[in-house]
Amino acid sequence: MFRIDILKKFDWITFSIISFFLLISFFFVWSAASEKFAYKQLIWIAIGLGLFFSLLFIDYFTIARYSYVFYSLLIICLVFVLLFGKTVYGAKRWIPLGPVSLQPSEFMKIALVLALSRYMMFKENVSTFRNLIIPITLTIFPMVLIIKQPDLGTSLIMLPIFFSIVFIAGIKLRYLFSIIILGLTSIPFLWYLILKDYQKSRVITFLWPDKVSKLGEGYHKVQSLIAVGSGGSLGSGWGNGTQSQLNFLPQGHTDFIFSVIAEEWGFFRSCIILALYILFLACCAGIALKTRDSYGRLMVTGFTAMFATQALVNIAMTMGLAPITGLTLPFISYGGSSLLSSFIALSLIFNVRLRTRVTLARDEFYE
Amino acid sequence: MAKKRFNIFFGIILALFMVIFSRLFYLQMMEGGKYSGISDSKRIRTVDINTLRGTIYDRNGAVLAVDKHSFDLTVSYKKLSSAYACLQNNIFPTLSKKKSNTLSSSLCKECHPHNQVWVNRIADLLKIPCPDIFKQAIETVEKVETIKSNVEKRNKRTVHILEETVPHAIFSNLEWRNIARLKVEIPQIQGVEIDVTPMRWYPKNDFAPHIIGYVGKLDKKELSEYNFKKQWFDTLSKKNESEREYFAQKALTADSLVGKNGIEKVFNSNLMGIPGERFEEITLDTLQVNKIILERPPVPGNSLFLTIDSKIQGIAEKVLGKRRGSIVVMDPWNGEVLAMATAPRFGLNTFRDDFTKISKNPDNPFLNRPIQSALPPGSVFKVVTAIAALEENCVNEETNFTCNGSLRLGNTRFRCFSQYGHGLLNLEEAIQFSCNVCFFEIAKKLGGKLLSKWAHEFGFGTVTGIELPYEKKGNMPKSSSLYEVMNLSIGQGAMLVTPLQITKMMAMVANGGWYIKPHIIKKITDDQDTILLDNDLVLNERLHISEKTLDYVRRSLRKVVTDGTAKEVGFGELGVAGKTGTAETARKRDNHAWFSGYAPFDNPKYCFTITVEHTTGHGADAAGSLALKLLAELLYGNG
Repeated sequence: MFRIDILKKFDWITFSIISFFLLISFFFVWSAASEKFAYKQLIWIAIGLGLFFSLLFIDYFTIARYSYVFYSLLIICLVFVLLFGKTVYGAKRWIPLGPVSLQPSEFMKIALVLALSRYMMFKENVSTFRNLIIPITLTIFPMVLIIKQPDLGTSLIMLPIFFSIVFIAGIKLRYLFSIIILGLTSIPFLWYLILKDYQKSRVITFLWPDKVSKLGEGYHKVQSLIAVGSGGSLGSGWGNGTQSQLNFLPQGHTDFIFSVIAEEWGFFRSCIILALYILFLACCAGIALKTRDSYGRLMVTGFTAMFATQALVNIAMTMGLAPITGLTLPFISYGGSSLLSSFIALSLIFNVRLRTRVTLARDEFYE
Repeated sequence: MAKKRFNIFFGIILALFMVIFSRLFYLQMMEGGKYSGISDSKRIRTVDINTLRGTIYDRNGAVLAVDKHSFDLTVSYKKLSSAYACLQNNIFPTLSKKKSNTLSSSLCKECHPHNQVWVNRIADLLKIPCPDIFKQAIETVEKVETIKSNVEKRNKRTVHILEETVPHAIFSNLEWRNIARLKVEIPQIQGVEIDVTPMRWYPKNDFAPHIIGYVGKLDKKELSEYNFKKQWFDTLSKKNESEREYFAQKALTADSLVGKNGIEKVFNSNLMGIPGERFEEITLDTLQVNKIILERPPVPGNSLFLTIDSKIQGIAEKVLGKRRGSIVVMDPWNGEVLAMATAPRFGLNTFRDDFTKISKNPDNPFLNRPIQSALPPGSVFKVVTAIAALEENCVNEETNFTCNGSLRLGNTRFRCFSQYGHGLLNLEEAIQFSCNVCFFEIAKKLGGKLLSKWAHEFGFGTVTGIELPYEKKGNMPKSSSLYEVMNLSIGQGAMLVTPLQITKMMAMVANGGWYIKPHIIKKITDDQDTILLDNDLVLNERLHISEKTLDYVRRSLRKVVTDGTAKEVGFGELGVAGKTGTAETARKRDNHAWFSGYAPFDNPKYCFTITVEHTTGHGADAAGSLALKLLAELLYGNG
């Protein structure tokens, strides 16, 4: 199955961008937290890279065959977490596995992309509005389970994944808009029925920071803004950020790692990181466009949307543009589960690129 | 079409990145000066606001433990460390030997007069000698330096730690006269402030110290072993999730006070409250507060109402005097402990000063005797034996026994209390006169299994589950040999019970066989006076025991007082029923005296147990006389 010549198609540009991100991750986790965390992160990176390369040997069509299996397995995991998961600060997100704990919601994103692409790869499945009921259910079901954990950020990331896949799959635009309108009208129900108090308070803090200052949510935002702002054009230098080093900035090594980078590296170098993210996403989108089979194309699109949303929301959050959610910065934030899921997604994207193939007979994607 | 859609897709991503980019540009390039100003010379620091620990009341609302204010003198770290530096170089060179090379002497000359000023002023105002202030400064600085060097070692680079930015308390619990004087001067002494911290205060000092308990700092073992944060904040379920999550991160520090014993320990999570927090902007050079950014007020701890009645507890402690022993008074109908007196005691406010003296006392004042002193019950246990015998139909009301003063089994002679023997008697009289021989006979018929079954029914050998720490469960041996069973039947041998267990047993006899659970918490209220827990127990499970048996036993217990072993005490008109007990220890003329019973006998209101340990007297004269005094005051005001 695996031929040496497909190595020629290995995307070295994307890979070097990712390597650069990983380097940054190591050093800024060190700066924001401590050496210990940095080495832990290094171990996760090593595991992630191993996973990345070993997944390359499996043809993504083999994976496609089991899309629904993965999806159902993860749904079971999520239910399991809700019932027996490890509670950390009031949230049940973790399955303890010996010395480490895994967060199934991180892997749910990937399973959702696989399942949605599997369903949408057939043209007739997107032609009528009725056909859309199944993908909508596929998306809503894990979302509800994850909101229950409660983890609003990871849950909401399912939406851009869904919309981008549906959009690229060629749905009629009026269907798309009617889904969006339906979704908007259901927001009041969500607010009163599903959201937990602290999630509401986070949204409120974002919208009206002064009103709820007593809750302390605004503190994260203020500190992060000061950190980013104090970076200036050149930054204070690695390991010298006053905000992050004095522990004014909470969670500097996980959710708020971009604040640390912005503070210590300044505007110009932070911009390089932004630019590299754009380049990385562009490469991914390019792979999707060039692929001639619709499953691969939809899958890569879904992952691109996933990475884009995570990066955008996370960075926007550090600059006070988005509410504080638990979304991590792909490949840079500290954390095993998010790193592993990012690597799996990356590996699948590369997989598609390595095995660009001729159109299948049933596929009527190109007109 | 696909290409077009891809363009739109990527266009959206790109547009959003552009928004981020411009925001970054705005924050870092346009407003960069503003924020970097904040970060460099001004700093937001967090200051914890102390919360008040919950108050402990008795059942009528008399205060047993409360937080009162203590005035602390706090000095900014910068001032302390410069004083420290001065000290090493010229003022008191003998006081400090460590690290004299850290700061140059030129710096010291600069700050020297400045330091003299604040130290002298404080010394003047507070009437504290100068060297003391410097000593405190040294201690604080060295503590912080150790923390810092540890952190640096761990991180392998230089860091600033929080302790360097906050003021440190160097004297606490200052007198208010000095405080007033200092308060007038404070604006002129920069970096010196008066801080008000709560201090635990027990108004009645040595009143029920074992029940109330005391607070202290976490010791090293507790800090390392426990996941305190979690344990503490799990109980704050009424608070909303976000606040809990937020505070779980900074719940307990090494300095926070937690309950170490008694109610303070068991209900620590209820009492602790949530500390508040203030984010304030300070100028780094002077450490003056510019403005307060956010303030989250502290939430005071919950208040506890005990079932203890201060009046009864006071009487019990007075009656007990200096004798080594305990008195338990309980409501037989719901298990509310009304008094639990122990002697000797210690003063809750003062015990830290003479700790070594107290801990070396052979009578062990720290022991909470009603639940921690497991003793052989002696004849009091005969009540259980009698009930078991009647219920298992080993004897009936008519069965007669003959007592010759002793009983021979094998080579061993079991003696009776009266060396001449009691003659012919039935079970009622056996209880009345506490005849050992009768109970030996009963034990022979009953056997060990049934006896220990009934003992377990009455809760011997298990903890009563009262809300106090370190309760002993005593010992209820699973006996097989006849020799041992005979000893057990009169409450001797390997059997050990706590006074509270005996009280529980007596209460169950008094209330007609209903199971009760002794408890000491009446209700818990939060700072808004909302009732969080109301311990209103109802009796719902009954022992399988016939009314006839109970009546018989209760009649016998009444006769103990009117005609039997406790006749000499002279309860007279007081309608007491009870049972005396004299548990022998290995030494001669060294007994544990028991008296347990209830009053009034026809409609029990109080159920009580009195123990006097290691006394020369017997159950009736050592413990019974105390019961007389106690009940005289309880039932008639005074006797």
